[in-house]
Amino acid sequence: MRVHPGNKSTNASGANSTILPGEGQKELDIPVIVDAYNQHKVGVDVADQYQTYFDTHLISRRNWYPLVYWMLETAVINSLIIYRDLPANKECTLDHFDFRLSILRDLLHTGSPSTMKISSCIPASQRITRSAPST
Amino acid sequence: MQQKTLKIPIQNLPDRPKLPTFDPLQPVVPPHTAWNLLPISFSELDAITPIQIFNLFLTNSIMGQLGANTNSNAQQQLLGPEKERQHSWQPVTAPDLYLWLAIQTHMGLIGVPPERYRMKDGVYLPEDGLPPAAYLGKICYQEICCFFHVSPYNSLPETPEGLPCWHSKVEILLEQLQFFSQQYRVPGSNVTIDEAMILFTCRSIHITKMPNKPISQGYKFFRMAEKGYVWEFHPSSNAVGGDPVDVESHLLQLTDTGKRVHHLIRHLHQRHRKLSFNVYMDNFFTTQPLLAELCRMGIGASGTCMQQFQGFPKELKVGKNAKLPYYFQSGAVNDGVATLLRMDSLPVTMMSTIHPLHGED
Repeated sequence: MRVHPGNKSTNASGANSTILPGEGQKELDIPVIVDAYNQHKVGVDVADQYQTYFDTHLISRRNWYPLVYWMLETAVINSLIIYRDLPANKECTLDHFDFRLSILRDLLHTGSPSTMKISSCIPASQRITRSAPST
Repeated sequence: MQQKTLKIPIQNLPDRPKLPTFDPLQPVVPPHTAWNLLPISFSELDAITPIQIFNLFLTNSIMGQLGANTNSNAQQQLLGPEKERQHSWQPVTAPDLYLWLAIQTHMGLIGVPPERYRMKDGVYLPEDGLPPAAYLGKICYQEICCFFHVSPYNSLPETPEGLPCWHSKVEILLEQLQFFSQQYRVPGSNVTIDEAMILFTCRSIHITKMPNKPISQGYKFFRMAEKGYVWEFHPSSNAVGGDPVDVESHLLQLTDTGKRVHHLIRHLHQRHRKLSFNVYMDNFFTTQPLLAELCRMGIGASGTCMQQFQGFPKELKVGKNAKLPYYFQSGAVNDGVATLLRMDSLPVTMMSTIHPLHGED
């Protein structure tokens, strides 16, 4: 599907011979090579798109922290794609948000049985005491 | 300095070659779709949960290693002779790091509408009603952020030339992520190679500035992906270039970028020799020698290309802003690589070893 170029487009005169001025858009043939490129070139862009939805990237002054955030995001996105491709999830699967929420819930569950890490460099009165949360 | 562009009026357009016939590279085996290669133990499970797959990439052993390195870093930072009386450090454990990871994940979800992620007193809650911060206190979270360390303290991996590797502080995670990404999935026939920017705006000699990109400043990685699944990546630095790659003598004609692309594809080819792959690239990577070399390996490649790059046919060079008749097409074949020039809104130049020049969809 091709949209009619604007009248001030550098190539508007050439396009007008193919797409008439009254036509807003028109289906036109494109070469096989262009079509295949448009179909398959999006592999990396899809990964970037997934990352932008719920990005965990925080501002940091240490120059290697962005790489850690990126690796965490890549691990989540790769997990999501593997999960969606499981035979049991072909028809009914979690969306991206629910997938992350499920990971979040299970990470909290995995971490909660441990004894709380208490910072000893703060006064005892300001320490956060925590037991395993009851739901 | 602004580059001059060649503008050719239509009436003065020199004759361009017509579309030649081109026999594209035929795959030895039919194209395939991607599939998972999960551990055998997963087949015994009734249902596989997201966290089980996520733990394939961030395993318990990695988390234990991160905890040990964080503790080592904290002890070195806090337990020095002059600070010994002021600070003490209670070691973090793998569960603590899981909680820390959960809070990181939680912060990515904060922008979600409240009807999906309940909000109470300004804090977004998971379904159990407790905010993630209730599981790990603020001070504890900040301490982990402060002393978090991926690699062992004071151990810097070196390049083959003996220089410190610029991403040595996260080398463990990079290696593990790449290893497991390759282990648990076979990509489909059509893979993509592109550069990716990781946002970082502070000072570093290794960041790259690309003002016209959505992320204009940060670290640049070359990535190979298939429908969003990142199968392999290659870090690149503005100061020291990309990581060293093994280059055979017949590849010396390739550009540095071409060698790295060849390195990425060779890994895929060596791992799955019985499968056929086609690689799609943008005009930053596509050169005629690279595509010809991939063709000799039996790997198809296609992509847009720049007219000033290595191996572009001289008879098709028209300049970036040339005015040609709409849908004008021309082409050339050189060493098994077909080049197409097509006039759209602007001239489009593409190279391919797997598509015919004739024929339209």
